[in-house]
Amino acid sequence: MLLGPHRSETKSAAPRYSPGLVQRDEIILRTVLDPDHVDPKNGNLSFAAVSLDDIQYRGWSVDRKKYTSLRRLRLYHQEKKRNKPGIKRFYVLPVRVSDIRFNPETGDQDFVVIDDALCGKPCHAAVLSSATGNQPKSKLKQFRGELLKRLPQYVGTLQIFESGEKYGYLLGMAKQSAVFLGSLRHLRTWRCLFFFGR
Amino acid sequence: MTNTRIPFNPGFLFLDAGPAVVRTFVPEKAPFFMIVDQNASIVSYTIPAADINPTKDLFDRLKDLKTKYSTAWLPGSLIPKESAFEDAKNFVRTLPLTQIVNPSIHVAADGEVTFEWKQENFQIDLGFYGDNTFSYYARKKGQEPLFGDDIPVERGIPKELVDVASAI
Repeated sequence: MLLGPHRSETKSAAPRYSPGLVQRDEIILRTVLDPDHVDPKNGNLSFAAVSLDDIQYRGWSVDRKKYTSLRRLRLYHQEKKRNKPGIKRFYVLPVRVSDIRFNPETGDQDFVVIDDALCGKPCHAAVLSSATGNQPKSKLKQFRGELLKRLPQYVGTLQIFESGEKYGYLLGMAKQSAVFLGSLRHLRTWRCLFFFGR
Repeated sequence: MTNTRIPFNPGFLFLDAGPAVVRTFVPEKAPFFMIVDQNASIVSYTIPAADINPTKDLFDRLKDLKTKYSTAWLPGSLIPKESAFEDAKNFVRTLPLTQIVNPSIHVAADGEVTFEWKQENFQIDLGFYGDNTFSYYARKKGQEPLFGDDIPVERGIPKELVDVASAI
């Protein structure tokens, strides 16, 4: 049987690497690529900035602000630029988790924001629609429209962090290391040590 | 039939007008109007360059995207299928572009070619994955949302969407 994606907000998708569950008052950051995600006519965020597959299965990747830093964000952007030289500019959407989880009109939970930490990337989280099962594309488009409606205006990377917010990544790594060291009894986690060095 | 060729910079507009036809073209963006008298000669016209050929603009955009997304794309992303662009192109041929504004066209990370109409009081999200069908979601203030799935491309844009997009 094919298992659906992890959608639980009360349990991490990767407990071995998790610095903690995503809290409702947290800020998550999503990178916006210009021109891929921006309408050239008016500068609005396009629907294509959120793929249907992401919100249904893969998870729309975001970074938890408190576990990343400007330096890490820039490194991430540089890596993207290497893969896709056509990117002109990077912007960031700073989203408060509580602003996207629930539909303000119906009160229903439309989206889940899950802790999806990766080895060496403790800030990684994902946004998925709360609807399980194989949804029709038109329904997913409705979800996409709702998500876009609740997103703030994107801003430049430099506008995200205050001067004192430099050590988020280190904090995340420290927490991840503590969790990781506690789980060393599982032999297969040794492979994470290998990835740390990369 | 009288074939009237109206020259303007930087292109031409072709008109097929019968002997007793008076046609007025008033697309969404003013100033754009053309009045043709009974002999199909021009009485007056004003055509901004950007509105010369909306269909060609969309074809050019699709061609541009096809080139851009044929090679490097981000890890984990899918290159759109060639058939997705073909479906989009065939769909463009069905659009009544004198009634509705041009959509914005983009490519999503899962290989969807998306057509987007966004105005203050409505939005339409319509997309192609290259299986000869399209799906859409449309909403307009004060109306029930519209949903459509697996609609054959050859059927073209549904009338209900034209109604949403043309009542600006």
